[in-house]
Amino acid sequence: MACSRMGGAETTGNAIADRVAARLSLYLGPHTGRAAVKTCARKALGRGAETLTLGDLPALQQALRPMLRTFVGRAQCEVVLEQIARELGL
Amino acid sequence: MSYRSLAWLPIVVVGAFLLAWAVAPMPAREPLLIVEIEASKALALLGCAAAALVFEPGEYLRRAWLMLGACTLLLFARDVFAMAAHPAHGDTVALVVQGVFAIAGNGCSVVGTWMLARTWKVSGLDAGATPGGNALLIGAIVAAALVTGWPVISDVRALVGGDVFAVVPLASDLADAVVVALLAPLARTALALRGGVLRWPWAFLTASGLLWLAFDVAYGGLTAAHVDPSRAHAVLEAMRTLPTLYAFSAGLSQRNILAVSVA
Repeated sequence: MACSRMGGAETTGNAIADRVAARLSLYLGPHTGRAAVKTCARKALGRGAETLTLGDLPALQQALRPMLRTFVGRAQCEVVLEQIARELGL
Repeated sequence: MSYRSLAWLPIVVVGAFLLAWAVAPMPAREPLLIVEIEASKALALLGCAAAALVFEPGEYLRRAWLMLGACTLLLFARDVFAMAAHPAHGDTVALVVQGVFAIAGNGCSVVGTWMLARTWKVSGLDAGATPGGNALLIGAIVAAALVTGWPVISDVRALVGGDVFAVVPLASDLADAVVVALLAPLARTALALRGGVLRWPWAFLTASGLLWLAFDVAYGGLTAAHVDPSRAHAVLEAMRTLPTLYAFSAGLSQRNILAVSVA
């Protein structure tokens, strides 16, 4: 299953999703960072990024992992996911 | 080295070469040219190796960068062989050895570029077909056909006419066609990553491909105008060096991103 690129507003309207997107955007750019969160949330949780809670984070990280590993490699992928978890207080 | 420095480096190096060429005495020009060509290939090899080795074994982009590095290594080896062996004109064995290096190098270039072009899809970020993306792809395929179509036909004619060594330029021209067509997905990836640090290697790879296209256009234009390309030797070699150096910039920027945590 693929995470598709989607257009959209500057924010998702959800603080957790926006935090994850902001971290990803350092690598992927803001557009693709947001799109990755939106569609991976839908893929992993079956709902939109605007509904994300802290409890959803492990599933979201799991969905983001294949994409991040491809672009930045396994080691850097884990660093990014770790930074996301730390920023969100997990 | 900063990403902006990597963006300017190929232009500065090629500008310096052209300046040195213009002021150099005649006997110094050929050695200068050889240094420029081989140094740029060595740098491209270094860049590709640096990018590949920053990924772990088995990772997708490691394999892609290794293929691009293998291309540069094989073309570099062909040049070294020609310089070291000093083959006599018409030496069949030497022509076969150089041909094998060239064909293998072009094959690696096609596979490496194909893998890079598929990265977006492999990552799971593929959006499927979009009107803009399709137009870009069609444009790249048309450009590839326009630029490499006639040389391919000439090579096939020569091959059919009994010139078995025409297979070498044929392989090179077919590789050029594929690489130019793959510019579309490379450019799409670079555009999609705008604003993030990963845009740099993809932008440099796209620039490298576009500059190869510009070289093919210039070379084809001279041939079509019945101008002996050797009359513009230095400029043509400078045009060949630019994309090679952008491959170096791409590899080094890829390495920088992964070796240094972004924030």
